[in-house]
Amino acid sequence: MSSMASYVGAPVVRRDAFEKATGTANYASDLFPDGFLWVSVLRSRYPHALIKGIDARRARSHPGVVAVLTHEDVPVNRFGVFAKDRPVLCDDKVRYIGDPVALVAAETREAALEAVKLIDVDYEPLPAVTDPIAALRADSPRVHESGNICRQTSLRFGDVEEAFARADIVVEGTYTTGTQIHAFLETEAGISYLDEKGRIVVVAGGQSPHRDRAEIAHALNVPAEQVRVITPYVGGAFGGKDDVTVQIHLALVTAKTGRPARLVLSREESMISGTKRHPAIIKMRTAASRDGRLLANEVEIIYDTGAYAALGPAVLDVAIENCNGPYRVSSARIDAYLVYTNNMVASAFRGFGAPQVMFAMERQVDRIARRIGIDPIELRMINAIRKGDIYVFGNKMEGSVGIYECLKVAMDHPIWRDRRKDGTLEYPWLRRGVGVAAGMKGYTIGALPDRGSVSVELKRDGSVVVGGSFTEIGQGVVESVAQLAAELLKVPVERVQVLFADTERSPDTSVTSASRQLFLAGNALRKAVVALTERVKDLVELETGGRPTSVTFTEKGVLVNSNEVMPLNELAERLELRGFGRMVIGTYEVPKVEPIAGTLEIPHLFFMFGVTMAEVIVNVLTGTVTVPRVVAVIDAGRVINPINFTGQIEGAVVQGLGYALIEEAKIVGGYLQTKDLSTYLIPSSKDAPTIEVIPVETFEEEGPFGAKGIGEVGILSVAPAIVNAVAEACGVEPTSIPLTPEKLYWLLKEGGLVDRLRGNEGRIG
Amino acid sequence: MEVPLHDVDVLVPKDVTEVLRLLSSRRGFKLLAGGTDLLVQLRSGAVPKSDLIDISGLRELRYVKRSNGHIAIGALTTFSEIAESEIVKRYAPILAEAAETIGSVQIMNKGTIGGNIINASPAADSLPPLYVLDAELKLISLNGTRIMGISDFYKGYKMLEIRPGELLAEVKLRAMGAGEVGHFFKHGLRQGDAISVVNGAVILDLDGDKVRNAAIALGAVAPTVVRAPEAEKVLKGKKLREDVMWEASRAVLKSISPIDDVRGSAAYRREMSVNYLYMTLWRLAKEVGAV
Repeated sequence: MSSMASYVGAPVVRRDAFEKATGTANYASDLFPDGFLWVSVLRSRYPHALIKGIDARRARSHPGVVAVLTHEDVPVNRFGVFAKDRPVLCDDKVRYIGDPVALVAAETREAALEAVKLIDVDYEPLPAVTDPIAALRADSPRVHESGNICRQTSLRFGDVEEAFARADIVVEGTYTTGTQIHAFLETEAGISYLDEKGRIVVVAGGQSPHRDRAEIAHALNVPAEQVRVITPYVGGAFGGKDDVTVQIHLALVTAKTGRPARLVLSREESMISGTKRHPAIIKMRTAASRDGRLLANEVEIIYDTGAYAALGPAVLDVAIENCNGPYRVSSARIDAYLVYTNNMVASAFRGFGAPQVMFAMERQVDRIARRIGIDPIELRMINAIRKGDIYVFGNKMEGSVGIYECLKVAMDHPIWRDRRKDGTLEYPWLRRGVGVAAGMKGYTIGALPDRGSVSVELKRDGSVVVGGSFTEIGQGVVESVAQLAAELLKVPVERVQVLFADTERSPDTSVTSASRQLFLAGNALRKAVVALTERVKDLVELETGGRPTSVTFTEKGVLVNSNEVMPLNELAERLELRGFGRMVIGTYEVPKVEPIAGTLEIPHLFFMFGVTMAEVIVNVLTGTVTVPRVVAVIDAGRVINPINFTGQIEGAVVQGLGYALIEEAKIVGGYLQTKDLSTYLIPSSKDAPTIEVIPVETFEEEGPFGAKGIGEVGILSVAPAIVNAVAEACGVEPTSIPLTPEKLYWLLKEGGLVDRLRGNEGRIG
Repeated sequence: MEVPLHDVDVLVPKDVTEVLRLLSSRRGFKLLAGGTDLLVQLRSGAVPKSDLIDISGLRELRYVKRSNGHIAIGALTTFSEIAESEIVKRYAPILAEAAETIGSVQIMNKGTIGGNIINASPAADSLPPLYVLDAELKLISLNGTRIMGISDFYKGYKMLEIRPGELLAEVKLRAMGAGEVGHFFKHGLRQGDAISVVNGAVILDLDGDKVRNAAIALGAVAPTVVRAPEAEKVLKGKKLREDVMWEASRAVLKSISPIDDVRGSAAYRREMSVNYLYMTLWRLAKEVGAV
C-alpha cells in the first residue's frame, strides 16, 4: 500500500474537455425549453432619475406579448447578499443605466424586443453622481436615502506617527485603477420552468446555486423548497456571476405566467447591466528605513461600488486586508470608503478588491527600492512575511506562507538575472524593461462563517458518485474533485462521477468564489470518506459482532483489519442489504478567528501568494507597451492537477495584462461609452505573452493533500509588475491603470522622452 | 437596444446583370457584401433597417488581375484573398499589409474590399493604400460605366459620389514601380484585431537614399482619408536624413483635422500622425540602408 499519491499532482485531462472542444457541452444559453417565452428587459434611460409612473398598456397589447411585469409584480422587491438595497424591478427610482424597470415575456424574440420599446416610463431625471470623491461631500445628491457612503472602515495598528518620525524614506502616491469588465465568453443566461410538482426551476449560469435559490425565494416570498436552481457548465464567471443576474427575473416570469422562460443577455446588455471590478482611488504613504525595512503604511482607499452594494462590503475588507502587501509592515493606518454613485454596479471580480491595492502597494515598494538603490526583489525578501509571523492586524499567519520562497525563485530566474543585459531592439524608439511585483490574498471567506458539504455515494457496481454544489465555471473544479475522490477511495478517476451544482441533488458546498472551492470541497470530501470508513466499521460490527480496528481503501477494495479485502461493489451490496445506505455526507467548516472590530471577514487564516515578473517593450513614440514574456511564480500549496493549475494562472496573467494595459471602460456622466468588444478591448492572442508558470509547492496543513486556493492568485501582481517594468524601461512613474497607449504617451512626452527622439535631427545614420 | 431583423427581405441575384436590374427598379435596398459592418450597424440601429440584396455569392466580382501595369481587383474580393494574392504581394505590397491587419481571420474571410470602400469609415484600413496607389473605382449601372479616382469618390464623412442604380464593380490600382518602396501603418489599441486610431500608407520612389517622389495618405484623422501633400513636398528631392524625416512628419499636421472619440483624443491623433509617419519613413530608410 503506497502512501504516495497517484492522482494528486497528476496531469489528468479534464472530463469536460472533449465535449467543450467539440461544442456538445450544454451551457445555460444552449437551452430552449418547450414552449418557452422570450424575455426582454427594459433598462433605465438615465443614470439617476425618479420614476413618476410606468404605463405598460401599449406593450401589453402588442401581438405576441404574454406578460409585462413591473415592480408591482415583485412580492419582495429588494435583493442583495450584504445589503438588500437592489430592486428586482425599479420602483421609486433608477440608479444606473443598467437598472431593470420592466420585463416583457413574449412568444417570439422580436415581439419581446419590440414591446420593450412600447413601455412608457415617466422619469424625472436627477443629477447623476459619478465621481466617488464628490459623492462623499455632504452636499452631493444622494444615490440612496441613507447617503452615499455604503461602508466606511478606519483601522489603526501600531504607532504610525513614531514610525514615520524615524523613517529614512517616505514615498507617497495617489493611484487610480479602472473599471474592469469580466467579458466572459457566455453572457448572463438562463431558463426557467415549473416542474411536475409546480416548483420553479431555474437553470442559469451562476457561482452559488444555494445562495441564488435563497435570493429567488426571498424576492418571490416563497419557501426555498419551492425553488430549484441548477447551474450547468458556465462559460466563464470570474466573479461576474457571483451575484444574482438573470435568475430572479426568470423565476418571476415563470411564476406569473406558468410558462417556461428564457433570458440570455446580449453582449451590450451584459456590459451595461453586469457587475464590474471596483474602480479605485488609493492614496498611500509608506515609510521605510535606509536598510530596506518597511515601517509603516498610511492608506486611504476609495472604492466606487456604483449604484448598489452587491458584494462591495466584503470587497472593501479584502482591499483593507491586503493593502500592506505580503510584508512585515509594523504599523498601519487605513481609512477605507465604499461609495455609492450612479456608475455601473461593482462587485466580485477575480482578486476581489486585492488587485487595486496591490497595484498601489507594489508601485510604492518599487519606488522605495529605487530610492534606496536596492534590488526590488531583495527589498521584498527583506520584508517578506513568514509562516508563524504576527501580521500587522495582530493575526498570526498560521497557514502556509510561501512568499519568501517565491521571491527566491524569482531572484534566480534568468528573466531577472539577465534583465539588464544589452539586447538589441529593432528600432531606436523602443525601450525594454523587466518588472517585478508580489501579491497576496486570503482564500476562503475569512472570518465570515464558511462551511460546505459534499456527498459520496457508492454505486452497486463499485463506482462512486461525488455530489456538491460547486460550479464548473471553467476552472476545472469537477475534475480536481474527482481526482481527490479517486485518490482517497483508490478507484480509477473514470469511476468517479461528479454531480454538481443542483440544489435538489447536490449538498450545499456554498459559493464558488474566493478561490475556496477545491479547499472546501476537498476537505468536505475527506470528511465524507471518514464517515464512509465509520459506516464500514458499523457494517462489519453488525455482521461479525466485532468492530474493526482499521479500515483502509486500497486499489482492490476496502481493507478491513489488514486481513479482509472487500471490493467496493461488494461493500455497496452489503451496505444496501444491511440497510445502512450507500451515501454519506461530509461537512467541513473552515477554521476561523473572530473578525477584527469594524470588519466582516478580516482576518483570513489562509492566504495565497505569488510573484509576477514581466518583460515589456515600450514604444516611446506611441505609448504602446507589449509584453513578450511573463513569469508567474505561485505559492500553490500542493498542485492537484498541473494542467488545470497552469491554465488558471495563464488565464489570470492575460486577464491581468488586460487590466494593466488595455481594458478601459469609459463612463461619461454615468453612461458607458464602451458597450461592445470593439470599443472595450480585451487582450487578443497576439497580446498574450509567453507565460512561464512556476509552482512553489508549499504544503498547506489544512488543505486537502496540502492544496490551497489558486483561482485568483495569478492576477494579483500582474498589473504592478508590468507597470514597474515600464517605469524601469522609461524612467517615468505611472500611477494609473489601465496604462493605455495614450495615457503612457503623454507621460513619456511630459518626461521629455519623445522630444529627445525628435531632437535627433541632423544625425545621419 | 437590439433591432430585430426577422422581417428583412433578402434578395439573392444570380449575376451582376440581375443586381443592376434590381438596383434600377427598386429603391430602399442595401447591398450586402461581407456584412462585417452592415449587419452590426443594422442590429444596433446605427443604420436604419432596410431590405437587402445579397451579392456576397457573386463569384464574377471576386478576382485579382494584372494588366498594363495595373492591378484590377473585383469588388467582392475578400481581404484574405487580397492578403494572399501573389499579384498584390508583389505589385502592391502595402495593400497586402493593410489586408493582413484589417481584423481577425473571420473578418478577413468575410470582409470585401468593395464593402470597405462603400462603408466609408475614415478608419478603413484598405483606403490609405488605395489613395497612394491612385486607385480608380469602376461604377457600373444599366446606363453604363463611370470611372472615378478614389479621392473624388468621398465628398465628406460617409458621403459618396455614387448614383442610384450604380454598383461598385472593380478597383484598379497602379502597380508599384521598381524604385518604389512603401509600408502601411496602423495604430490600434491592442496588438491584433483592433480598429485603427490612426492608419496610413507611404510610398517612396527612391534614387539611392534620395526621394524622387513621395505619396502619403492617412486615415482616421479627418472626415475622409487624406493625402498629405505638404509632407510629400518636404521629402521630394531630399535625402532620407533624420531632420528631413521629422520635418516631413511634422508637415503632415497641415493635412489632418482629427476629432476626439472613444478611441483617442484629437491631440493624441495629431501626435500619432507625426510619429507614425516618422517611424514609417525611418523603417523605409533603414531598409534601403539610408539610416
